[in-house]
Amino acid sequence: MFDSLFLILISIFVPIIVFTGFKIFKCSNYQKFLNVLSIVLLALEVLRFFYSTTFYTDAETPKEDLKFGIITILSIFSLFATFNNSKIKDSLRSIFVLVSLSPIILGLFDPSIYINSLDVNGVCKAMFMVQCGLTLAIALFYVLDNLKINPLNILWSVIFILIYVGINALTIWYWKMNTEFNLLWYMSYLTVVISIAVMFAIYYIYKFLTNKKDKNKIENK
Amino acid sequence: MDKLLKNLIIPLIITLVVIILFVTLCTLLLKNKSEKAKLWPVRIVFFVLVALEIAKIFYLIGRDDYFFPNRFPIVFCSMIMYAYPIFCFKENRFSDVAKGFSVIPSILAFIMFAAIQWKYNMSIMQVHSFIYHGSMLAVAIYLLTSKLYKFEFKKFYGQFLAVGGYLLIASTISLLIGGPISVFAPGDPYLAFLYDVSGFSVGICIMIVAVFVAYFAVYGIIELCSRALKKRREKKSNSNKNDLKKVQNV
Repeated sequence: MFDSLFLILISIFVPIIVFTGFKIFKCSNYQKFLNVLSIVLLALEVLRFFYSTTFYTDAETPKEDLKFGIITILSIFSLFATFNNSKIKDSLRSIFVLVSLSPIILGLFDPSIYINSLDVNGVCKAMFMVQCGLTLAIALFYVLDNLKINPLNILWSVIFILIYVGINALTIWYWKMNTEFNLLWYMSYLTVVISIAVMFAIYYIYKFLTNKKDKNKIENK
Repeated sequence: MDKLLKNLIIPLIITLVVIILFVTLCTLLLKNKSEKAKLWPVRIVFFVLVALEIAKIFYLIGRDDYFFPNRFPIVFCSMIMYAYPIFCFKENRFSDVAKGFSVIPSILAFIMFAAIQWKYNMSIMQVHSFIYHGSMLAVAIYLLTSKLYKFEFKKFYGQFLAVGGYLLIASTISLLIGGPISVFAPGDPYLAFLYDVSGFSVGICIMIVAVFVAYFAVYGIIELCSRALKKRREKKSNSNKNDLKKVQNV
């Protein structure tokens, strides 16, 4: 229970802390900031992987750490979305923004994806929580960097999640034959799909409010 | 009650009287002096703290015949000692952050120390602690009264980074050397509950979040209060001006 609480707390506060720093130091170049954040996210992922694998020196198949984690996918995805300058940049960023809540939701439904009983000091757990927060921070900066999300991007995001679910299901079936029916597993991905719509609604409200503000400014002038 | 009186109240009153005397004298005597001259008391306190820290280490080795890893001077109360040389000898770009670093953590360290002091009978180590924490508190108050440090809301982020960075570095060192720092360890008198609930690394993250919230709140409240005071003063001066004008017109 406390793990879930801390996961939510850290995930919310990391973007707040990053955004406050951005404003306090009067940074204006979103792209540079995004480059740094994406690299930090990937570095944390690499660190987490190596730190985690050190616990399994004698294991034949360190399957728990080679699992196809959503945070791993998002770390790599953020690199493509940040450093890409082609036409699909906006689509990639939109998908990233819409699915940015997924690591938190999957973590809440199944804490075993970030809790390792051999990690006595909980270093990987803390890194995962910070990564969840960084994912949200990157999504926030994509939106601030004049991102326009089309309703069509919801469809792309759902497809992205479905592909991930398929691969995850395959890996589970490959390593664990005769797996019992787990309702929570299905529910977690259903919630992720719902969160895509929630993120779109949040984005839409944000755009609506900023447009209203701009209109008021123009009228006042 | 007797224990409380002997272990806490009497030494605390003596310490507070000395602090008040130190701060009043230093502030009044150095009122019109340059900033360099105003920093002399801080320099003296810095050398006193270093001497106390060294004396403590030697005394404890002599007493226990062994140097425990948690006696490395990286505990919460020692960190202020590292901030003094950044601003009291030569001005640099981190001086203001270091000054701020010496204000709130010093006050907090003194309160934390005083909160559990009544449990321990007076001994040479307790006297040492009263002098050590009292010196830190005296410098913190002196920095404010001599206007060497001013609270501005923008400064809170630098302070948060400094204290958060310290927590991260000190806790990593403590994990590596195997000795608990006095802020975060299983048997810690203040934060053991957090350690039990969150574990080591997540607890550090939560503490960093707490530091952010605390600094945001403290600097925010001080900024709001100072703005409200400024507005009041402006209103008063404006009303005085209007009264003068009315008198002149009559």
